[in-house]
Amino acid sequence: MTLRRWTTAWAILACALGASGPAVAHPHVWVNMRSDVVFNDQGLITALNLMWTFDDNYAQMAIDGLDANGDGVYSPDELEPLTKENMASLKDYDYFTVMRFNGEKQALGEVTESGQIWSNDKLALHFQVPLKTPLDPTKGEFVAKVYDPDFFIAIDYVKDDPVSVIGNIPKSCKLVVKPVPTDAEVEETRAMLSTKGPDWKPENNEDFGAVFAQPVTIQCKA
Amino acid sequence: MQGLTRALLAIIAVAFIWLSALPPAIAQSTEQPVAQDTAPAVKIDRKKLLVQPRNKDGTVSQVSFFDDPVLWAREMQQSFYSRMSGTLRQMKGSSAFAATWTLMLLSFGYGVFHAAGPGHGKAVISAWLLATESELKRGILISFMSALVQALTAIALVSVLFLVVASVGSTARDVAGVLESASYGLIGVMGLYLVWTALRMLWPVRTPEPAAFAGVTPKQTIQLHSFETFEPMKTQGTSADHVHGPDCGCGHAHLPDAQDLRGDWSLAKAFSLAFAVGIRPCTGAILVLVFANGLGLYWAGIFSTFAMAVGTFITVSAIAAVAVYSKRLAARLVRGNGRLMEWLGFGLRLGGGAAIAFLGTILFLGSLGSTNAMM
Repeated sequence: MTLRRWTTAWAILACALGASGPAVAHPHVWVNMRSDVVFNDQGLITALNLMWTFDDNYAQMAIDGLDANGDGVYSPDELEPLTKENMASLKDYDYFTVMRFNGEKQALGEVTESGQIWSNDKLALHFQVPLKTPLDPTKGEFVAKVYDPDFFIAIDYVKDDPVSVIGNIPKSCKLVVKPVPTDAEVEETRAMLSTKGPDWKPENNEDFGAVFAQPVTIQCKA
Repeated sequence: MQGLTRALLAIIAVAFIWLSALPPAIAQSTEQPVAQDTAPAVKIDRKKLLVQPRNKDGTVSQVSFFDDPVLWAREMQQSFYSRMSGTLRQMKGSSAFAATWTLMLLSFGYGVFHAAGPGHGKAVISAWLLATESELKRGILISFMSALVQALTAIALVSVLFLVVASVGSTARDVAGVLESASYGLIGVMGLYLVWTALRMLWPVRTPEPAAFAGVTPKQTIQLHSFETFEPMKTQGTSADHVHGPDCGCGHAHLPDAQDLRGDWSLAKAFSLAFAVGIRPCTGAILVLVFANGLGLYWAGIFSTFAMAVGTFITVSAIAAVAVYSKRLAARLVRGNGRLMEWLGFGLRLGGGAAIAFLGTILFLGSLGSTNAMM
Protein backbone atom coordinates (compact mmCIF):
# COMPACT_ATOMS: atom_id res chain seq x y z
CA MET A 1 0.00 0.00 0.00
CA THR A 2 2.81 2.37 0.87
CA LEU A 3 4.55 1.49 -2.35
CA ARG A 4 1.41 2.32 -4.27
CA ARG A 5 1.11 5.64 -2.56
CA TRP A 6 4.65 6.57 -3.39
CA THR A 7 4.28 5.56 -6.98
CA THR A 8 1.25 7.81 -7.13
CA ALA A 9 3.18 10.59 -5.52
CA TRP A 10 5.82 10.36 -8.19
CA ALA A 11 3.32 10.02 -10.96
CA ILE A 12 1.57 13.14 -9.76
CA LEU A 13 4.79 15.07 -9.38
CA ALA A 14 5.77 13.98 -12.87
CA CYS A 15 2.41 15.18 -14.10
CA ALA A 16 2.83 18.49 -12.36
CA LEU A 17 6.29 19.08 -13.75
CA GLY A 18 5.75 17.66 -17.21
CA ALA A 19 3.69 18.99 -20.05
CA SER A 20 1.00 16.46 -19.35
CA GLY A 21 -0.59 18.75 -16.79
CA PRO A 22 -3.56 19.98 -18.82
CA ALA A 23 -4.46 16.44 -19.82
CA VAL A 24 -5.44 15.76 -16.24
CA ALA A 25 -8.16 18.38 -16.32
CA HIS A 26 -11.81 17.52 -16.84
CA PRO A 27 -13.73 16.76 -18.93
CA HIS A 28 -12.32 13.83 -20.82
CA VAL A 29 -15.15 13.13 -23.21
CA TRP A 30 -17.42 15.57 -25.00
CA VAL A 31 -20.84 14.45 -26.08
CA ASN A 32 -23.33 16.04 -28.46
CA MET A 33 -26.73 14.76 -27.48
CA ARG A 34 -30.11 14.31 -29.11
CA SER A 35 -33.02 12.83 -27.25
CA ASP A 36 -36.65 11.73 -27.64
CA VAL A 37 -39.35 11.70 -25.01
CA VAL A 38 -41.27 8.48 -25.62
CA PHE A 39 -45.06 8.30 -25.04
CA ASN A 40 -47.23 5.18 -25.14
CA ASP A 41 -50.68 4.90 -26.71
CA GLN A 42 -52.33 6.02 -23.47
CA GLY A 43 -50.42 9.31 -23.54
CA LEU A 44 -48.08 8.34 -20.69
CA ILE A 45 -44.37 9.07 -20.71
CA THR A 46 -42.53 5.75 -20.75
CA ALA A 47 -38.92 6.45 -21.62
CA LEU A 48 -36.18 8.75 -22.80
CA ASN A 49 -34.21 7.90 -25.93
CA LEU A 50 -30.67 9.19 -25.95
CA MET A 51 -28.25 9.51 -28.83
CA TRP A 52 -24.73 10.53 -27.86
CA THR A 53 -22.27 11.58 -30.56
CA PHE A 54 -18.72 11.58 -29.20
CA ASP A 55 -15.85 13.95 -29.83
CA ASP A 56 -13.30 12.75 -32.38
CA ASN A 57 -10.53 12.15 -29.87
CA TYR A 58 -12.59 9.82 -27.77
CA ALA A 59 -14.13 8.17 -30.84
CA GLN A 60 -10.75 7.36 -32.39
CA MET A 61 -9.48 5.95 -29.13
CA ALA A 62 -12.65 3.92 -28.59
CA ILE A 63 -12.87 2.28 -32.00
CA ASP A 64 -9.17 1.58 -32.24
CA GLY A 65 -8.62 -2.12 -32.82
CA LEU A 66 -12.31 -3.02 -32.99
CA ASP A 67 -12.39 -3.65 -36.73
CA ALA A 68 -12.38 -7.38 -36.13
CA ASN A 69 -12.63 -8.50 -39.76
CA GLY A 70 -10.26 -5.81 -40.98
CA ASP A 71 -12.55 -4.50 -43.74
CA GLY A 72 -12.03 -0.87 -42.72
CA VAL A 73 -15.62 -0.57 -41.52
CA TYR A 74 -16.62 -0.48 -37.88
CA SER A 75 -19.94 -2.27 -37.99
CA PRO A 76 -22.41 -2.19 -35.09
CA ASP A 77 -21.59 -5.86 -34.51
CA GLU A 78 -17.91 -5.10 -34.17
CA LEU A 79 -18.69 -2.23 -31.80
CA GLU A 80 -21.10 -4.33 -29.74
CA PRO A 81 -18.53 -5.54 -27.15
CA LEU A 82 -17.66 -1.92 -26.35
CA THR A 83 -21.33 -0.93 -26.27
CA LYS A 84 -22.05 -3.74 -23.85
CA GLU A 85 -19.30 -2.77 -21.44
CA ASN A 86 -20.21 0.89 -21.65
CA MET A 87 -23.86 0.20 -20.92
CA ALA A 88 -22.88 -2.04 -18.01
CA SER A 89 -20.76 0.66 -16.36
CA LEU A 90 -23.15 3.50 -17.26
CA LYS A 91 -25.82 1.62 -15.33
CA ASP A 92 -23.80 2.27 -12.17
CA TYR A 93 -24.26 5.97 -12.87
CA ASP A 94 -27.96 5.74 -13.77
CA TYR A 95 -26.94 6.58 -17.34
CA PHE A 96 -26.41 10.18 -16.16
CA THR A 97 -30.15 10.54 -16.62
CA VAL A 98 -32.36 12.13 -13.99
CA MET A 99 -36.10 12.21 -14.57
CA ARG A 100 -38.24 14.05 -12.03
CA PHE A 101 -41.99 14.17 -11.63
CA ASN A 102 -43.20 17.02 -9.42
CA GLY A 103 -39.69 17.20 -8.12
CA GLU A 104 -39.56 13.52 -7.21
CA LYS A 105 -36.70 11.55 -8.70
CA GLN A 106 -38.11 8.65 -10.71
CA ALA A 107 -36.81 5.10 -10.67
CA LEU A 108 -35.38 3.84 -13.94
CA GLY A 109 -36.01 0.50 -15.64
CA GLU A 110 -33.62 -1.69 -17.58
CA VAL A 111 -32.13 -0.17 -20.70
CA THR A 112 -33.49 -2.13 -23.61
CA GLU A 113 -32.25 -0.87 -26.92
CA SER A 114 -28.62 0.08 -27.20
CA GLY A 115 -26.04 0.20 -29.94
CA GLN A 116 -23.21 2.14 -31.45
CA ILE A 117 -22.97 3.48 -34.95
CA TRP A 118 -19.85 4.60 -36.77
CA SER A 119 -20.65 6.78 -39.76
CA ASN A 120 -19.10 9.84 -41.40
CA ASP A 121 -16.15 9.48 -39.04
CA LYS A 122 -18.40 10.01 -36.04
CA LEU A 123 -19.16 7.54 -33.30
CA ALA A 124 -22.62 7.61 -31.74
CA LEU A 125 -24.07 5.60 -28.89
CA HIS A 126 -27.84 5.27 -28.64
CA PHE A 127 -29.94 3.73 -25.92
CA GLN A 128 -33.36 3.95 -24.31
CA VAL A 129 -33.76 4.71 -20.62
CA PRO A 130 -37.25 3.58 -19.55
CA LEU A 131 -39.15 4.82 -16.52
CA LYS A 132 -40.04 2.07 -14.08
CA THR A 133 -43.57 3.49 -13.90
CA PRO A 134 -45.04 5.42 -16.84
CA LEU A 135 -46.07 8.98 -15.96
CA ASP A 136 -49.13 11.04 -16.86
CA PRO A 137 -47.78 14.47 -17.87
CA THR A 138 -51.15 16.14 -17.29
CA LYS A 139 -50.94 15.29 -13.59
CA GLY A 140 -47.65 16.92 -12.82
CA GLU A 141 -44.47 18.44 -14.06
CA PHE A 142 -42.03 16.18 -15.90
CA VAL A 143 -38.40 17.28 -16.09
CA ALA A 144 -35.53 15.31 -17.56
CA LYS A 145 -31.88 16.24 -17.20
CA VAL A 146 -28.90 14.37 -18.61
CA TYR A 147 -25.53 15.33 -17.19
CA ASP A 148 -22.43 13.98 -15.47
CA PRO A 149 -22.25 15.46 -11.96
CA ASP A 150 -18.47 14.97 -11.96
CA PHE A 151 -18.03 16.78 -15.31
CA PHE A 152 -15.98 13.85 -16.48
CA ILE A 153 -18.17 13.73 -19.56
CA ALA A 154 -19.45 17.01 -20.94
CA ILE A 155 -22.93 16.33 -22.30
CA ASP A 156 -24.58 19.09 -24.35
CA TYR A 157 -27.62 19.12 -26.56
CA VAL A 158 -27.13 19.82 -30.24
CA LYS A 159 -28.35 23.27 -31.31
CA ASP A 160 -30.88 22.25 -33.95
CA ASP A 161 -33.82 20.07 -33.01
CA PRO A 162 -32.22 18.68 -29.84
CA VAL A 163 -35.30 16.88 -28.51
CA SER A 164 -38.36 15.42 -30.16
CA VAL A 165 -41.45 13.50 -29.14
CA ILE A 166 -42.14 9.90 -30.12
CA GLY A 167 -45.60 8.42 -29.71
CA ASN A 168 -48.93 9.73 -28.50
CA ILE A 169 -48.38 12.98 -26.61
CA PRO A 170 -51.64 14.37 -25.06
CA LYS A 171 -53.07 17.29 -27.10
CA SER A 172 -52.85 19.78 -24.24
CA CYS A 173 -49.14 19.09 -23.75
CA LYS A 174 -46.01 20.33 -25.44
CA LEU A 175 -42.32 19.70 -25.24
CA VAL A 176 -40.14 22.52 -23.95
CA VAL A 177 -36.37 22.44 -24.06
CA LYS A 178 -34.50 25.15 -22.31
CA PRO A 179 -32.11 26.49 -24.93
CA VAL A 180 -28.36 26.49 -24.48
CA PRO A 181 -27.68 29.24 -21.96
CA THR A 182 -26.58 32.54 -23.47
CA ASP A 183 -23.37 34.23 -22.40
CA ALA A 184 -25.41 36.59 -20.25
CA GLU A 185 -27.09 33.68 -18.50
CA VAL A 186 -23.81 31.92 -17.91
CA GLU A 187 -22.46 35.16 -16.48
CA GLU A 188 -25.51 35.39 -14.23
CA THR A 189 -24.97 31.86 -12.95
CA ARG A 190 -21.34 32.64 -12.40
CA ALA A 191 -22.15 35.78 -10.47
CA MET A 192 -24.72 33.89 -8.40
CA LEU A 193 -22.25 31.10 -7.63
CA SER A 194 -19.48 33.49 -6.69
CA THR A 195 -21.63 34.75 -3.83
CA LYS A 196 -22.07 31.23 -2.47
CA GLY A 197 -19.64 29.32 -0.34
CA PRO A 198 -18.00 26.11 -1.49
CA ASP A 199 -20.61 24.11 0.41
CA TRP A 200 -23.57 25.55 -1.43
CA LYS A 201 -26.01 23.07 -2.93
CA PRO A 202 -28.86 23.65 -5.38
CA GLU A 203 -32.45 23.21 -4.22
CA ASN A 204 -34.46 19.97 -4.52
CA ASN A 205 -31.53 17.85 -3.39
CA GLU A 206 -30.03 18.25 -6.81
CA ASP A 207 -26.31 18.05 -7.19
CA PHE A 208 -24.09 20.80 -8.46
CA GLY A 209 -23.92 19.57 -12.04
CA ALA A 210 -27.70 19.86 -12.36
CA VAL A 211 -27.35 23.64 -12.33
CA PHE A 212 -25.57 23.45 -15.66
CA ALA A 213 -27.75 20.82 -17.30
CA GLN A 214 -30.38 21.79 -19.88
CA PRO A 215 -33.77 20.64 -18.63
CA VAL A 216 -36.32 19.01 -20.95
CA THR A 217 -39.88 19.51 -19.71
CA ILE A 218 -43.36 18.45 -20.79
CA GLN A 219 -45.77 21.30 -20.13
CA CYS A 220 -49.52 20.73 -20.20
CA LYS A 221 -52.41 23.21 -20.03
CA ALA A 222 -54.73 22.46 -17.17
CA MET B 1 32.11 -17.05 -6.93
CA GLN B 2 29.73 -18.78 -4.59
CA GLY B 3 28.51 -15.42 -3.41
CA LEU B 4 27.75 -14.41 -6.96
CA THR B 5 25.76 -17.56 -7.65
CA ARG B 6 23.81 -17.07 -4.46
CA ALA B 7 23.05 -13.48 -5.41
CA LEU B 8 21.85 -14.53 -8.85
CA LEU B 9 19.66 -17.21 -7.36
CA ALA B 10 18.21 -14.67 -4.97
CA ILE B 11 17.44 -12.29 -7.82
CA ILE B 12 15.75 -15.04 -9.81
CA ALA B 13 13.72 -16.06 -6.79
CA VAL B 14 12.61 -12.50 -6.16
CA ALA B 15 11.73 -12.03 -9.82
CA PHE B 16 9.75 -15.24 -9.78
CA ILE B 17 7.79 -14.23 -6.68
CA TRP B 18 7.14 -10.84 -8.16
CA LEU B 19 5.94 -12.26 -11.47
CA SER B 20 3.69 -14.81 -9.86
CA ALA B 21 2.18 -12.03 -7.78
CA LEU B 22 1.54 -9.99 -10.92
CA PRO B 23 -2.18 -9.40 -10.99
CA PRO B 24 -4.73 -10.12 -13.70
CA ALA B 25 -3.04 -8.25 -16.57
CA ILE B 26 -0.88 -11.19 -17.52
CA ALA B 27 -3.07 -13.91 -16.12
CA GLN B 28 -6.08 -12.76 -18.13
CA SER B 29 -4.32 -12.48 -21.44
CA THR B 30 -3.24 -16.08 -21.26
CA GLU B 31 -6.57 -17.39 -20.02
CA GLN B 32 -8.69 -15.51 -22.47
CA PRO B 33 -9.18 -18.09 -25.26
CA VAL B 34 -10.84 -20.42 -22.74
CA ALA B 35 -13.70 -18.06 -21.97
CA GLN B 36 -14.43 -17.47 -25.65
CA ASP B 37 -17.75 -19.24 -26.08
CA THR B 38 -19.86 -16.90 -23.91
CA ALA B 39 -18.32 -13.43 -24.07
CA PRO B 40 -17.18 -11.88 -27.34
CA ALA B 41 -13.55 -12.52 -28.12
CA VAL B 42 -12.68 -8.82 -28.14
CA LYS B 43 -11.29 -7.61 -24.85
CA ILE B 44 -12.28 -4.03 -24.26
CA ASP B 45 -9.54 -1.87 -22.86
CA ARG B 46 -10.79 -0.14 -19.76
CA LYS B 47 -9.63 3.25 -20.92
CA LYS B 48 -12.18 3.02 -23.73
CA LEU B 49 -15.05 3.00 -21.28
CA LEU B 50 -16.97 6.23 -20.86
CA VAL B 51 -17.05 5.65 -17.11
CA GLN B 52 -15.42 3.05 -14.92
CA PRO B 53 -17.81 0.57 -13.30
CA ARG B 54 -18.55 0.97 -9.62
CA ASN B 55 -18.13 -1.56 -6.84
CA LYS B 56 -21.14 -2.65 -4.81
CA ASP B 57 -20.42 -0.05 -2.14
CA GLY B 58 -20.61 2.72 -4.73
CA THR B 59 -16.89 3.36 -4.99
CA VAL B 60 -15.33 3.25 -8.41
CA SER B 61 -13.31 0.11 -8.90
CA GLN B 62 -9.66 0.89 -9.47
CA VAL B 63 -7.79 0.06 -12.61
CA SER B 64 -4.80 -2.06 -11.73
CA PHE B 65 -1.44 -0.40 -12.17
CA PHE B 66 -0.33 -3.14 -14.54
CA ASP B 67 -3.36 -2.76 -16.78
CA ASP B 68 -2.90 0.92 -17.46
CA PRO B 69 -0.50 2.96 -15.34
CA VAL B 70 -1.65 6.32 -16.69
CA LEU B 71 -5.32 5.70 -16.06
CA TRP B 72 -4.46 4.19 -12.70
CA ALA B 73 -2.49 7.26 -11.65
CA ARG B 74 -5.26 9.54 -12.83
CA GLU B 75 -7.84 7.64 -10.86
CA MET B 76 -5.70 7.49 -7.75
CA GLN B 77 -5.17 11.21 -7.93
CA GLN B 78 -8.85 11.84 -8.37
CA SER B 79 -9.80 9.74 -5.38
CA PHE B 80 -7.02 11.32 -3.31
CA TYR B 81 -8.19 14.78 -4.13
CA SER B 82 -11.85 14.15 -3.53
CA ARG B 83 -11.12 12.50 -0.20
CA MET B 84 -8.80 15.25 0.93
CA SER B 85 -10.90 18.19 -0.13
CA GLY B 86 -13.89 16.36 1.32
CA THR B 87 -12.21 16.13 4.71
CA LEU B 88 -11.23 19.78 4.61
CA ARG B 89 -14.70 20.86 3.59
CA GLN B 90 -16.26 18.64 6.21
CA MET B 91 -14.11 20.21 8.85
CA LYS B 92 -15.30 23.59 7.74
CA GLY B 93 -18.86 22.45 7.07
CA SER B 94 -19.44 20.92 10.49
CA SER B 95 -18.58 24.21 12.12
CA ALA B 96 -16.64 27.13 10.73
CA PHE B 97 -16.06 28.12 14.34
CA ALA B 98 -14.41 24.81 15.18
CA ALA B 99 -12.31 24.95 12.03
CA THR B 100 -11.18 28.46 12.88
CA TRP B 101 -10.23 27.43 16.40
CA THR B 102 -8.38 24.37 15.18
CA LEU B 103 -6.44 26.45 12.72
CA MET B 104 -5.67 29.08 15.36
CA LEU B 105 -4.49 26.49 17.86
CA LEU B 106 -2.32 24.82 15.26
CA SER B 107 -0.88 28.19 14.28
CA PHE B 108 -0.19 29.09 17.88
CA GLY B 109 1.61 25.81 18.40
CA TYR B 110 3.47 26.32 15.16
CA GLY B 111 4.57 29.76 16.33
CA VAL B 112 5.73 28.44 19.70
CA PHE B 113 7.71 25.57 18.25
CA HIS B 114 8.90 27.42 15.23
CA ALA B 115 10.71 30.02 17.28
CA ALA B 116 12.14 27.32 19.52
CA GLY B 117 12.95 25.18 16.54
CA PRO B 118 16.22 24.03 15.06
CA GLY B 119 18.76 26.72 14.42
CA HIS B 120 16.54 29.42 15.71
CA GLY B 121 16.78 28.61 19.37
CA LYS B 122 20.50 28.94 19.50
CA ALA B 123 20.47 32.16 17.53
CA VAL B 124 17.95 33.58 19.93
CA ILE B 125 19.82 32.41 22.99
CA SER B 126 23.19 33.55 21.77
CA ALA B 127 21.79 36.96 21.04
CA TRP B 128 20.40 37.14 24.52
CA LEU B 129 23.54 35.93 26.19
CA LEU B 130 25.05 39.16 25.00
CA ALA B 131 22.19 41.21 26.29
CA THR B 132 22.09 42.35 29.86
CA GLU B 133 19.29 41.93 32.33
CA SER B 134 18.35 45.55 32.20
CA GLU B 135 17.63 45.21 28.47
CA LEU B 136 15.28 42.27 28.84
CA LYS B 137 12.18 44.44 28.95
CA ARG B 138 13.16 46.31 25.82
CA GLY B 139 13.94 43.05 24.05
CA ILE B 140 10.59 41.60 24.95
CA LEU B 141 8.84 44.72 23.75
CA ILE B 142 10.69 44.66 20.45
CA SER B 143 10.07 40.92 20.05
CA PHE B 144 6.40 41.58 20.52
CA MET B 145 6.40 44.42 18.02
CA SER B 146 8.38 42.41 15.47
CA ALA B 147 6.00 39.48 15.76
CA LEU B 148 3.11 41.86 15.21
CA VAL B 149 4.74 43.53 12.21
CA GLN B 150 5.55 40.14 10.78
CA ALA B 151 1.94 39.04 11.08
CA LEU B 152 0.69 42.25 9.47
CA THR B 153 3.18 41.95 6.60
CA ALA B 154 2.07 38.40 5.85
CA ILE B 155 -1.59 39.42 5.96
CA ALA B 156 -1.02 42.42 3.70
CA LEU B 157 1.03 40.41 1.23
CA VAL B 158 -1.41 37.54 0.92
CA SER B 159 -4.46 39.81 0.80
CA VAL B 160 -3.00 41.91 -1.99
CA LEU B 161 -1.98 38.77 -3.83
CA PHE B 162 -5.48 37.36 -3.68
CA LEU B 163 -7.05 40.68 -4.64
CA VAL B 164 -4.89 40.77 -7.74
CA VAL B 165 -5.68 37.17 -8.63
CA ALA B 166 -9.36 37.78 -8.03
CA SER B 167 -9.50 40.89 -10.19
CA VAL B 168 -7.70 39.15 -13.04
CA GLY B 169 -9.65 35.96 -12.62
CA SER B 170 -13.12 37.44 -12.37
CA THR B 171 -13.14 38.47 -16.01
CA ALA B 172 -12.43 35.03 -17.29
CA ARG B 173 -13.27 32.40 -14.76
CA ASP B 174 -15.07 31.50 -11.63
CA VAL B 175 -13.52 33.59 -8.87
CA ALA B 176 -13.76 31.01 -6.14
CA GLY B 177 -12.27 28.35 -8.41
CA VAL B 178 -9.33 30.49 -9.42
CA LEU B 179 -8.65 31.51 -5.83
CA GLU B 180 -8.76 27.90 -4.75
CA SER B 181 -6.42 26.79 -7.51
CA ALA B 182 -4.07 29.67 -6.77
CA SER B 183 -4.06 28.79 -3.09
CA TYR B 184 -3.21 25.17 -3.69
CA GLY B 185 -0.62 26.08 -6.28
CA LEU B 186 1.07 28.39 -3.80
CA ILE B 187 1.05 25.69 -1.14
CA GLY B 188 2.76 23.34 -3.59
CA VAL B 189 5.35 25.95 -4.55
CA MET B 190 6.06 26.67 -0.90
CA GLY B 191 6.61 22.98 -0.22
CA LEU B 192 9.07 22.73 -3.09
CA TYR B 193 10.78 25.83 -1.77
CA LEU B 194 11.19 24.22 1.65
CA VAL B 195 12.66 21.11 0.06
CA TRP B 196 15.05 23.28 -1.87
CA THR B 197 16.20 25.17 1.20
CA ALA B 198 16.69 21.85 3.00
CA LEU B 199 18.88 20.59 0.18
CA ARG B 200 20.80 23.83 0.24
CA MET B 201 21.39 23.34 3.95
CA LEU B 202 22.94 20.03 3.08
CA TRP B 203 25.63 21.35 0.77
CA PRO B 204 27.85 23.16 3.25
CA VAL B 205 27.71 20.19 5.63
CA ARG B 206 28.69 17.75 2.91
CA THR B 207 31.65 19.70 1.60
CA PRO B 208 33.92 20.37 4.57
CA GLU B 209 37.16 20.83 2.60
CA PRO B 210 39.15 17.89 4.04
CA ALA B 211 42.56 19.43 3.24
CA ALA B 212 42.03 22.55 5.24
CA PHE B 213 40.49 20.69 8.15
CA ALA B 214 42.83 17.71 8.19
CA GLY B 215 42.13 15.53 11.18
CA VAL B 216 38.93 17.28 12.02
CA THR B 217 35.91 14.98 12.11
CA PRO B 218 32.65 16.11 10.54
CA LYS B 219 31.21 16.45 14.00
CA GLN B 220 33.82 18.97 14.95
CA THR B 221 33.34 20.80 11.71
CA ILE B 222 29.67 21.17 12.44
CA GLN B 223 30.40 22.42 15.92
CA LEU B 224 32.72 25.00 14.49
CA HIS B 225 30.08 25.83 11.99
CA SER B 226 27.41 26.33 14.62
CA PHE B 227 29.80 28.38 16.66
CA GLU B 228 29.89 30.78 13.78
CA THR B 229 26.24 31.52 14.22
CA PHE B 230 26.95 32.83 17.66
CA GLU B 231 26.27 36.28 16.36
CA PRO B 232 23.38 35.43 14.11
CA MET B 233 22.81 38.77 12.46
CA LYS B 234 26.48 39.29 11.72
CA THR B 235 27.10 36.10 9.81
CA GLN B 236 25.24 37.28 6.77
CA GLY B 237 27.63 37.43 3.84
CA THR B 238 30.67 36.82 6.00
CA SER B 239 30.45 33.06 6.22
CA ALA B 240 30.42 31.13 2.98
CA ASP B 241 29.22 27.89 4.46
CA HIS B 242 26.31 29.20 6.46
CA VAL B 243 24.27 31.33 4.14
CA HIS B 244 21.42 33.23 5.67
CA GLY B 245 18.86 33.69 2.98
CA PRO B 246 15.24 34.72 3.35
CA ASP B 247 14.50 31.00 3.63
CA CYS B 248 15.86 30.88 7.14
CA GLY B 249 12.29 31.62 8.11
CA CYS B 250 11.18 33.88 10.90
CA GLY B 251 13.54 32.55 13.49
CA HIS B 252 16.80 34.22 12.70
CA ALA B 253 15.13 37.54 12.57
CA HIS B 254 12.69 37.08 15.41
CA LEU B 255 15.00 38.89 17.63
CA PRO B 256 16.95 42.04 17.06
CA ASP B 257 20.67 41.79 17.48
CA ALA B 258 21.81 42.44 20.99
CA GLN B 259 24.16 45.12 19.71
CA ASP B 260 21.27 47.12 18.39
CA LEU B 261 19.57 47.07 21.76
CA ARG B 262 22.35 48.87 23.49
CA GLY B 263 22.88 52.55 23.65
CA ASP B 264 20.25 55.21 23.11
CA TRP B 265 16.72 54.07 23.45
CA SER B 266 13.82 55.76 21.75
CA LEU B 267 10.43 54.73 20.56
CA ALA B 268 11.40 55.62 17.00
CA LYS B 269 14.36 53.29 17.21
CA ALA B 270 12.18 50.55 18.66
CA PHE B 271 9.75 50.94 15.79
CA SER B 272 12.43 50.90 13.14
CA LEU B 273 14.01 47.80 14.70
CA ALA B 274 10.70 45.97 14.90
CA PHE B 275 9.94 46.95 11.34
CA ALA B 276 13.30 45.84 10.06
CA VAL B 277 12.89 42.47 11.74
CA GLY B 278 9.24 41.95 10.87
CA ILE B 279 9.16 43.22 7.31
CA ARG B 280 10.00 39.80 5.95
CA PRO B 281 6.87 37.75 6.47
CA CYS B 282 7.10 34.30 7.94
CA THR B 283 6.55 31.43 5.52
CA GLY B 284 4.42 29.68 8.11
CA ALA B 285 2.11 32.67 8.37
CA ILE B 286 1.77 32.87 4.58
CA LEU B 287 1.06 29.18 4.42
CA VAL B 288 -1.71 29.44 6.99
CA LEU B 289 -3.26 32.46 5.30
CA VAL B 290 -3.20 30.84 1.89
CA PHE B 291 -4.54 27.59 3.26
CA ALA B 292 -7.37 29.27 5.15
CA ASN B 293 -8.25 31.25 2.05
CA GLY B 294 -8.44 28.06 0.04
CA LEU B 295 -10.93 26.79 2.58
CA GLY B 296 -12.93 29.97 2.22
CA LEU B 297 -12.01 31.01 5.77
CA TYR B 298 -10.20 34.27 5.12
CA TRP B 299 -10.72 35.65 8.62
CA ALA B 300 -9.67 32.41 10.27
CA GLY B 301 -6.36 32.83 8.48
CA ILE B 302 -5.93 36.32 9.88
CA PHE B 303 -6.78 35.28 13.43
CA SER B 304 -4.43 32.34 13.07
CA THR B 305 -1.62 34.58 11.90
CA PHE B 306 -1.98 36.66 15.02
CA ALA B 307 -2.15 33.51 17.14
CA MET B 308 1.07 32.42 15.50
CA ALA B 309 2.66 35.77 16.28
CA VAL B 310 1.67 35.42 19.92
CA GLY B 311 3.16 31.93 19.99
CA THR B 312 6.44 33.10 18.53
CA PHE B 313 6.57 36.03 20.88
CA ILE B 314 6.00 33.85 23.95
CA THR B 315 8.78 31.47 23.03
CA VAL B 316 11.24 34.16 22.18
CA SER B 317 10.51 36.04 25.38
CA ALA B 318 10.71 32.86 27.45
CA ILE B 319 14.03 31.90 25.93
CA ALA B 320 15.26 35.41 26.45
CA ALA B 321 14.28 35.31 30.10
CA VAL B 322 15.84 31.91 30.60
CA ALA B 323 18.97 33.08 28.88
CA VAL B 324 19.28 36.14 30.99
CA TYR B 325 18.56 34.42 34.30
CA SER B 326 20.64 31.34 33.70
CA LYS B 327 23.32 32.01 31.21
CA ARG B 328 25.16 28.80 31.92
CA LEU B 329 22.20 26.58 31.22
CA ALA B 330 21.60 28.35 27.98
CA ALA B 331 25.20 28.05 26.96
CA ARG B 332 25.05 24.31 27.52
CA LEU B 333 21.89 24.06 25.41
CA VAL B 334 23.60 25.84 22.59
CA ARG B 335 26.69 23.70 22.57
CA GLY B 336 25.21 20.25 23.12
CA ASN B 337 22.46 20.23 20.59
CA GLY B 338 24.11 21.93 17.66
CA ARG B 339 24.55 18.88 15.45
CA LEU B 340 21.29 17.27 16.40
CA MET B 341 19.48 20.49 15.73
CA GLU B 342 21.06 20.83 12.30
CA TRP B 343 19.93 17.39 11.25
CA LEU B 344 16.55 17.79 12.86
CA GLY B 345 16.12 21.02 10.95
CA PHE B 346 17.22 19.39 7.72
CA GLY B 347 14.87 16.45 8.21
CA LEU B 348 11.93 18.63 9.16
CA ARG B 349 12.41 20.87 6.15
CA LEU B 350 12.88 18.04 3.70
CA GLY B 351 10.06 15.87 5.03
CA GLY B 352 7.66 18.68 5.73
CA GLY B 353 8.47 20.39 2.46
CA ALA B 354 7.89 17.24 0.46
CA ALA B 355 4.60 16.58 2.27
CA ILE B 356 3.40 20.13 1.72
CA ALA B 357 4.46 20.07 -1.94
CA PHE B 358 2.65 16.78 -2.41
CA LEU B 359 -0.53 18.03 -0.76
CA GLY B 360 -0.45 21.28 -2.69
CA THR B 361 0.13 19.56 -6.00
CA ILE B 362 -2.74 17.16 -5.59
CA LEU B 363 -5.10 19.86 -4.43
CA PHE B 364 -3.96 22.15 -7.23
CA LEU B 365 -4.34 19.62 -10.02
CA GLY B 366 -7.65 18.44 -8.67
CA SER B 367 -8.98 21.97 -8.38
CA LEU B 368 -7.88 22.73 -11.95
CA GLY B 369 -10.28 20.09 -13.15
CA SER B 370 -13.27 21.49 -11.33
CA THR B 371 -12.37 25.03 -12.33
CA ASN B 372 -12.24 24.20 -16.00
CA ALA B 373 -15.49 22.35 -15.78
CA MET B 374 -17.23 25.43 -14.45
CA MET B 375 -16.74 27.15 -17.75
